Amino acid sequence: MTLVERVGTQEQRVIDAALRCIARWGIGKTTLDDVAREAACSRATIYRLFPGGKEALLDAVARNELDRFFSGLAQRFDEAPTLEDLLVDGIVYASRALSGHEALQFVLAYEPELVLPKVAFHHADRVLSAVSAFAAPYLAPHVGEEGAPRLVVVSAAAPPRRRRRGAPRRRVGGASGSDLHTRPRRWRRRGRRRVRPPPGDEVRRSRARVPTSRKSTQRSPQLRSVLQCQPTKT
Amino acid sequence: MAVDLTVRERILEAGYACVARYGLAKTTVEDVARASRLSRATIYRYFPGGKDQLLRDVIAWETGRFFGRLAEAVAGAPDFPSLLEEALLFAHRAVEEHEVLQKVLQTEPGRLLPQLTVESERVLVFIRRFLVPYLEREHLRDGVEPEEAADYVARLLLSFIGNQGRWDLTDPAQVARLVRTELLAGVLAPTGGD
Repeated sequence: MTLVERVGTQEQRVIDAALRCIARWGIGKTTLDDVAREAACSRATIYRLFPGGKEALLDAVARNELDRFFSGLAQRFDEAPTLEDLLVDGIVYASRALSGHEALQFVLAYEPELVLPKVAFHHADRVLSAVSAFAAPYLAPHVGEEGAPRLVVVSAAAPPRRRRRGAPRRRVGGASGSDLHTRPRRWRRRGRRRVRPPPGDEVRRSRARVPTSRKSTQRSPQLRSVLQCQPTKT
Repeated sequence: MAVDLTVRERILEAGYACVARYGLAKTTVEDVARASRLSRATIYRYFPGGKDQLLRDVIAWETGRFFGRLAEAVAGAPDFPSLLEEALLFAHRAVEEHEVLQKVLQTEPGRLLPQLTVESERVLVFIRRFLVPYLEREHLRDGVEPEEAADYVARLLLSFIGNQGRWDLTDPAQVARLVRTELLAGVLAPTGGD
């Protein structure tokens, strides 16, 4: 069942309740009793919906959150008229979604051992190729089929940071000196955003282009050069 | 060699040896005391937080040594691109051949990775500082400051050291291409018509 089909169902209520419990007590200490109480249903109902109990429920929660994150990201990507907009909006969206995600932040702060082994070192390849596969179709119209997967890898290369125990909650993961959380004022576009047809559409393909104005060169020379894939002369 | 070590370093080295032998979970302060031929009280004097602090500092210490070795290995490179190439080749090989790291990553990733993630901030600062003087000598793209460029390159380096993705970092030709396209194209001014 997809996210949209599930809205308002009991399954979704239980998933949402579980997420609130995790944000409060963490993964380790959340029990099915807690979730049942939070969702105002019985434990038997949870077992019926998620045969396998807590493991199965946690799986469903994780899948639910990934679906939510990526459908939000897809929406930003769909609406971005230029490659630069796409990247800026995508990065701002992602850093807000991650830093504002209470359950994730709780787990990263207090139970990092449950999450980090799944995304670090060799496992990072899995994450990068998943993100790459997701984003490539959106990037292809801008940089060509060949450049798209590379660009994703470069963009996703910054390692996430976690909040230290007791440190003030940081709103941004991995921003290190720059604030990814807010879109710089001068980058904000005035007026209503034009909504683009979905990727693959011929109209989109013909209009999409790499920004070429002098201004955008000054904004992000690093980004531009990576996009253009210019090797320095050897 | 043991003669020159401070007490703190002697404890860290013993701690590292214990982790190599027993792993993070099973190493005790008692083990480290025995390996360093010091009393438990001395160890607690240097590491009042006990085992947790000791292991945290051992990880930080070995991480520092690792990147110190890396910096030494590449210091003689003739130019900046070859410095980055050598760094990637060396670091990739060193990570793969780091027996203790690989063992702990296999058996106790949950204990190691949270520490390494915290540590990575310090490593980034270290790599950045190392790179800035080199970048100051390079012809950077308009609007790119050496510090920004160093941060960009440091992040990519760290990311590729951690996992090579679709590149083969044992192949010098591929590493040369990676350095010139993805690492340097972002910061150096293009030379000539390309």
